[in-house]
Amino acid sequence: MTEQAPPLVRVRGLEKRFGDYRALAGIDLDIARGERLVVCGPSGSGKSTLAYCLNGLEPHDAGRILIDGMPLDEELGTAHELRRSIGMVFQSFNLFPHLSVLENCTLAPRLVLRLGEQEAHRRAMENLERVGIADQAAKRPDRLSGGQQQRVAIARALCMRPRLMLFDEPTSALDPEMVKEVLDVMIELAQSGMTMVCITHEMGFARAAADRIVFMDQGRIIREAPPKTFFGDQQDPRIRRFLADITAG
Amino acid sequence: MPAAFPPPAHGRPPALPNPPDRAGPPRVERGLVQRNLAWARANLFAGPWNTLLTLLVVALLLWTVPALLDWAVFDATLAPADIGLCMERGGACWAMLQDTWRMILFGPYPPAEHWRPALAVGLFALLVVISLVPAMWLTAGRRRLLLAVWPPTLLVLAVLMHGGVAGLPVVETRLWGGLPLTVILASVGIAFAFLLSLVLALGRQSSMPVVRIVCIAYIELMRGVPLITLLLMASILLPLTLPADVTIHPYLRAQLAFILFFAAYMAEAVRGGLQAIPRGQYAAAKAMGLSYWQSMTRVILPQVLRMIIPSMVNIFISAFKDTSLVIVISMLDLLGTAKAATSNPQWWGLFIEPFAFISAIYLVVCSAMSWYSRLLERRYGTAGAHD
Ligand SMILES: Nc1ncnc2c1ncn2[C@@H]1O[C@H](COP(=O)(O)OP(=O)(O)OP(=O)(O)O)[C@@H](O)[C@H]1O
Ligand SMILES: [Mg+2]
Repeated sequence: MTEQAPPLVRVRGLEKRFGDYRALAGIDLDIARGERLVVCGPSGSGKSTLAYCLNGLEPHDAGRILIDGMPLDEELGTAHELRRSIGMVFQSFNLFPHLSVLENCTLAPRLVLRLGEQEAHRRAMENLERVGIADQAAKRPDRLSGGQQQRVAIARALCMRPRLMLFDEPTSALDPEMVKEVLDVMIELAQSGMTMVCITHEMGFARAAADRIVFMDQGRIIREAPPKTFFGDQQDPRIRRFLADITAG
Repeated sequence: MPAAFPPPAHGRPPALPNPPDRAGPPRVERGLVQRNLAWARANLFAGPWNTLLTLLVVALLLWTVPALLDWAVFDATLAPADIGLCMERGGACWAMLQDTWRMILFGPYPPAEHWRPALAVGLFALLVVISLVPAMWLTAGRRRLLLAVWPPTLLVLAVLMHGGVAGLPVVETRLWGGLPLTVILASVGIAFAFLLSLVLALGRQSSMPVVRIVCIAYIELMRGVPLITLLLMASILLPLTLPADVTIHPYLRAQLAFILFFAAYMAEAVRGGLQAIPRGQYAAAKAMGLSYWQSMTRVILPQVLRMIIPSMVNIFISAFKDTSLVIVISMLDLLGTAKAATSNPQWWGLFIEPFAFISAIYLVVCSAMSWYSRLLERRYGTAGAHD
């Protein structure tokens, strides 16, 4: 990345309140095109809230979010427009249970991007192929294992050709033996140049694929650093405790 | 007691032998009689209470079935007969139905034209049945075909009933009655109430306070008022409050009352389903860029409807039967025409026969609905039950 290229995402002074509680207490963050960011931090630190604000699922209370220079704002009506170019993968998969795997992948491209049936179908199969699950296309999601469902969810998001992918703890609802198949897909995605924000406690993934690790606590970013530095010299006791906690189990 | 059981087949774990006091002949030799006896012992005489209940039911059947058979079959009177002969024989007077069934089915519709409402009801039933076959919605092409067939068919039905085209004599709507009227009241009522209920249920969980309050108030008001008062108000009060030169057809007033009333009940069923949908489904639909209406119609409501099939069909069945309440505003639906048949001087004094006749019709339709609901439940019920 050259210095002059504007970041894909620019966040300034972002705040989000739930009643009196400040879930986000002033976030400043730039994400460059093609960057792989890992966000971690203790439970309740506001990681999910940040992800929900970044694609406008939750309106923010103060501060600015610029996606490719365009302000993301419910009032300006840009949130809906920008959201379709931001993919989101949830902890609980959130596949549509009444639709087949294939239909899960074609629904939004057809309704939102107005693709024809064949083009949507082609794109869906391409992405299901990419996550290694094309042979299950005709099944209902509840017939698949957790790992398979999460891979379908990734394929579903990719079908919208997003410029940014958000992952909110994509592996923490999975049985241990299925974590790897999802992480492998995410690593492949990272290597392909996709801009990614991954909320995860998988530090192995962070080491392997992240350009930068962001550590959050109580609605603030208290440290950002490349993996080497982050894991190398850890001054802050909160981060030390966090790392000790997650490695302990 | 048989001495031994056949040795277990090779490789299978040995079967547990029956307890000694229940041991019958070896399983392989059990015949039909033994199996039925075993079934009876397990289901009818499993304990003292179970045995007592079985004996009571048998006694009740022995007491009622012969009497019913005497009335309906052995002492019954078929045409040709008159009321005198019926009275003399004491049983059911089916001769009366043989004389009046057309009048009960079609009301004041001109007898020479009875084939028209008969054909119309038959066509309508056929189209409904075809539309309800799940295989008909499997492909987009079939769904489009169904949607394309409905409007022209409804037009044909209306023309059949009303006439005035292609040499069919005009039959004014005030002469429509009996089964066609019941079918129209019920199907139009259920269809529009269903659509309105979706709007009400979504409005009830709207983020706009005014919309939410209006929907809640409406639903609670309708659920707090008996349908019969609503019908009376629609037929008596509504004309009084309207300007003198505005008149609403009595059928429309009753129809409106049904739609408004049942929409409130259906809305509550839909709300129950909406509450069972995990928040993640809304988030996922929104994150994919779907608009509010797109996520509702393509993601949320399809799951809700699968989930609430049983309660919805319950309401449909009530609605179908409750169309008979229009009798209080002197409309000649199926119940109205049956009641009219009882005041036929030729058959004066007979009540049970016409009511048994229309009860059979209601029973068939309602049983079909609940059978179909079970079919759908088996097919879709579990697919939507997700968390
Ligand atoms: N819809 C909501 N209403 C009220 N409070 C909320 C809501 N969503 C989140 N919060 C609160 O905001 C804070 C941050 O929540 P968030 O889900 O962003 O944390 P997180 O970092 O993702 O935690 P976890 O690791 O447990 O997922 C928490 O204290 C949570 O209770
Ligand atoms: Mg979270």
